[in-house]
Amino acid sequence: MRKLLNLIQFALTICIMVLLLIALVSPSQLSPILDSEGYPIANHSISWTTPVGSDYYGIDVFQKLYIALFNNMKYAIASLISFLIFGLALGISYGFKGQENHYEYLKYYLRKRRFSVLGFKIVQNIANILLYVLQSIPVVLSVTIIIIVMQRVVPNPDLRIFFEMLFVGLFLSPKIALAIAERIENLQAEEYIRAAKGMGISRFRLIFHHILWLESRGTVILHSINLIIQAIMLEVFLSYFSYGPDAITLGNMILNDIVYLAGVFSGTDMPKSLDTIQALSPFLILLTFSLSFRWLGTKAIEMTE
Amino acid sequence: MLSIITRYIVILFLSLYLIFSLLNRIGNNSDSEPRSFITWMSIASHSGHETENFQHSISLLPTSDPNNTSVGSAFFTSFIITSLSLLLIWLIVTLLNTLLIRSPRVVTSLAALINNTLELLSGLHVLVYGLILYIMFGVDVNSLVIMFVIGVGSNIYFDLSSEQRLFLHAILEKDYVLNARATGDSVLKHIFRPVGVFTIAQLLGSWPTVLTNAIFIEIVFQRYGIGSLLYQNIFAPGRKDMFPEVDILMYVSGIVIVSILLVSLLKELFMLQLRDDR
Repeated sequence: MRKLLNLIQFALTICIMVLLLIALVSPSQLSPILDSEGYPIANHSISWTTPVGSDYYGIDVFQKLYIALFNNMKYAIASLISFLIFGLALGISYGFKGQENHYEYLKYYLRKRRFSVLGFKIVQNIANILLYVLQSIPVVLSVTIIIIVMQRVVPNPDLRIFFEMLFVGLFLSPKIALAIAERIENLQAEEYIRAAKGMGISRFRLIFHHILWLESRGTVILHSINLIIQAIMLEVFLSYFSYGPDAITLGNMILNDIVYLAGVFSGTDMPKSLDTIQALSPFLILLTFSLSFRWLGTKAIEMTE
Repeated sequence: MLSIITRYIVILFLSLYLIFSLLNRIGNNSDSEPRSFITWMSIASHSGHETENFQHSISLLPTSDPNNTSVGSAFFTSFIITSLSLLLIWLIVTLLNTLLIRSPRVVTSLAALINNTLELLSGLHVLVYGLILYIMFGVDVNSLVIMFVIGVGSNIYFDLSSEQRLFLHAILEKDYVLNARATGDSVLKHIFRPVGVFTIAQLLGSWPTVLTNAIFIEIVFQRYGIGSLLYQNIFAPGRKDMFPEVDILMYVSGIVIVSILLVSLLKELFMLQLRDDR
């Protein structure tokens, strides 16, 4: 059972990777399928060259799908950048807090006039408070507040989504920060870390090479993958309520075709089979993407531990 | 303990101040003077607010006024939905884990199949389930289905299940449990306290995640609760280009953040007690 599931998820991951690869090497401009006289072919049936057919304007829906997936990945990567930058910084700061942040230690540094250490400790304390504050705000509230503020500040919807995703990454960063902090706290007692410190390895190399890369990369990959999935879902959520970008995205495709699917299930207004398949395709991509990326996350953890 | 409580009060104040400072200058009060955080808090704690856009009032507790929006009663509904979803998933997890540990081979393989399927399904985001259900049934979906979807879609199933299974395996191999078995004493009597403490800590830890997903689902299905307040003020058709009700958002943020911090504080105090016991 497990083996079969693994095999299916591996196949789905390959499909998603192939789609992303096609999107990377293909032109991002939509072009209609033309007949011999140069007119667009509306509602072209499913064939080898058009796996999901064409829409009312003659645009290949398969092309729309991989462009949408690619656009969603772009927004997710914007979110991932702020997530990793803030998450790792907050996590390292919180993980190394130790006893040295105690009031008595701060007084000691003040008395000894070690202002650089004192300044670092103050920044560290502020970062720790920021971590607690960000952790207490749930994602649904942060998303709501971000879209309201961005609606007023950035008028261009295609640019606005990037800013929204950057802030979503920031608000979600406590997840990875706490995981990294826990890892650092556990590793500090490990003998080889103490030995590395004793050998005079720089703190930078200790943190980035020994702790983050050698010991925590599985955790970082897993949290990054979870964030990518969450960012893609948030784009769908925002587009569904008309707060998304104007570009072709999975959310916009679902929003445009949702009437066909609702018609199928209610049975009142039955759409054509081609419309139903085209409406189902962004959903299938979303499902495939979620399942395959979750599988990738678990594999990353298995490989590093 | 006092330092922990003080820390939580400071976090609450800073979180609310962050949200207030973001929202205060853009909402329905854009023409009037921006209010200070302290003024806003004192009005909220005494009488509630009169809003400018819709000529209605907001308060924490329900009143007899038909134009009053009670954030407290909406939160209570969300609280119940969240807690029941969590409890439902916990019951399923406990049942399957008990079967996996204790029962004969056929039942065990069936339980393993269900467990694997649920673990796979919990990988999907709650919004995917929400959209699928919305397409299939519209907004009229059974509450039990909604609770199941919130529980499974919150991605807590895998953590709850695996952590509980590991904990049960570990505790059943403890010396005092083996001793109780050998002497014919009740095992349940001996494992009741550690399992109870572990369960409460697990449930408290998962509660904020489930609440967030419950609000998402309430927005999609426009069900009464915190989600419906957000839907009416922000996400409903035609609301996009209007000024949102900042006061409602502040009330919602306040009550949700207080509840999350309270649950986190309870969990931390609980863990502290557990450590002292040991």
